[in-house]
Amino acid sequence: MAAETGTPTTLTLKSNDDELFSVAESAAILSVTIRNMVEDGCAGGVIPLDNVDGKTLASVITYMNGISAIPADEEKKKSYRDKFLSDKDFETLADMVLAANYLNMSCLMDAVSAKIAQVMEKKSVGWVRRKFGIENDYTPEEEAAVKEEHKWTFEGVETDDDN
Amino acid sequence: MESEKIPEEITIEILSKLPVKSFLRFKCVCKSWHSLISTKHFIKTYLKNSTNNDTLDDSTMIIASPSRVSGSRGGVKACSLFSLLTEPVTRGLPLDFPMNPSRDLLIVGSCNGLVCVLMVDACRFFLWNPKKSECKELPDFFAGVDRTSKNRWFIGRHGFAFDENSGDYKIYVVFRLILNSIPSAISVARLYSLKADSWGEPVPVVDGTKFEAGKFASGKLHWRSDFRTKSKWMIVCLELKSVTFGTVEQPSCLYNYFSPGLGVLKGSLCLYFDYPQHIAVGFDIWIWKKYGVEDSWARLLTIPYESVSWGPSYSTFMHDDIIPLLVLPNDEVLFTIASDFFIYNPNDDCVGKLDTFDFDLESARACEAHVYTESLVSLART
Repeated sequence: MAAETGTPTTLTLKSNDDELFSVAESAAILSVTIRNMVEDGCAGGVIPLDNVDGKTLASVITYMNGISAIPADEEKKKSYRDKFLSDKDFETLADMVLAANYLNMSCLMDAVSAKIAQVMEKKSVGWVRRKFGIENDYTPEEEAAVKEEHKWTFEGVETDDDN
Repeated sequence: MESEKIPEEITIEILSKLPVKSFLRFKCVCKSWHSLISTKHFIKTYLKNSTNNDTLDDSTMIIASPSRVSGSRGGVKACSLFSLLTEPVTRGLPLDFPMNPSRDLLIVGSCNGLVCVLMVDACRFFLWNPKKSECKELPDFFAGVDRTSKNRWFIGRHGFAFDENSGDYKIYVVFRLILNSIPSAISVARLYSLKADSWGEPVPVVDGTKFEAGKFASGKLHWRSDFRTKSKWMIVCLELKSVTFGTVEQPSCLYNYFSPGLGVLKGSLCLYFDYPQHIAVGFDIWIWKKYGVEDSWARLLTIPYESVSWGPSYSTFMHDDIIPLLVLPNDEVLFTIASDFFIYNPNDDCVGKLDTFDFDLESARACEAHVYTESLVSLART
């Protein structure tokens, strides 16, 4: 590792609800979107992130700092990601997957989408519609027909609560 | 969250990480999810999440050669994995084997998009790339043998393999000849090389007389040894590089397991066992994670009997009938019982039946299904 001299460069990120965050450049450039901005010379001022709100950005920065503090050890990084995501609810995860996509952070993207899949795995169709904000566009007959085609997949589905 | 629509590419990213059982259920969510989940792109993305060494993609098929005896026309039939995983019913379609399909065919093995086919009654071997419609017949095994004396013969152990060291495809066959002039049978083994397009000189004969296709893993072909006793078994293997035989002794962790089925899952040798029902509760699959290291045998999963024993046709399914075909992402396992396909999800111990028609497998292991993925590997000599 190269010898570090002086204070590390710090970036200021701005969320779409105008919250400002300071983060070490070395951690922030885990986001390809931010890295490109830095390379384009935006690093001097404030980096506006128009698609991420303050709450989500705070969480993403916690992740950036946490994961960049771990040396190159894929096992340890994976367990950090698992732990980081373990207590997040569906809404937070959904916000994070959008943020990870916008910030172009493929590892976070993979981890969050896997976590969402894990949360969804045993849920009912109704739960998924509600959480994803999807309107049912089947007629009752059509829906019954699709259900009939893959009947076995409806066995053992969790009862329909909102957790 | 309701106001923000998740873009389709992220939806695919999320849904492709679900087990088959879940994403099939979520076809019910809305019409756009239904069509999204039914695309080859989706299945391709899903199969990329596979952490194992199998090459699986949207061209992967399960192929088998139903016997004419069972009433079907013979030839080679294929069920696409894409259809099995997305459609309510999958039709078995004929794969166009270019050589006289009316003969009794048997698939010896499938490797890197090449299929080795045996025309059983004529004792002719073929190598075939269905994607490229290339097919070649292997030279006569008996070239140089006095044909008039070839009174009776039968095939013993055989197998199809890819030798990584030489980048060559090899076919090992033992023929047992019963000649008029000699009272007992003699066995001759040869190893065909695609590069040389020749059977070469005779090579050592593997023990045992059974007609059995070897399983190829870790550079070796494997056969179950003729059982020494009911409880003691071993595996014989042929190393392709040196053309030498070895054995895999029964590992101590499998001491209580009898009569193994032999297969390849996740690119590793695997053993599967079923017991009389009063002893065990399930069908066990063990995988040899690190070839050669006895301690690295690990139980991949147990399919509980109660989850497959519904319905009259499966009440007597045991004894050699469950054949695991491949491990999907999320460690779901695709397996067959007789002619039916099932998927086992280790997370909820649930087994689902994937319906097919026009695809008749025989329950005998000799006619089992093989996993085939398209490739552009050429049969032409380079």
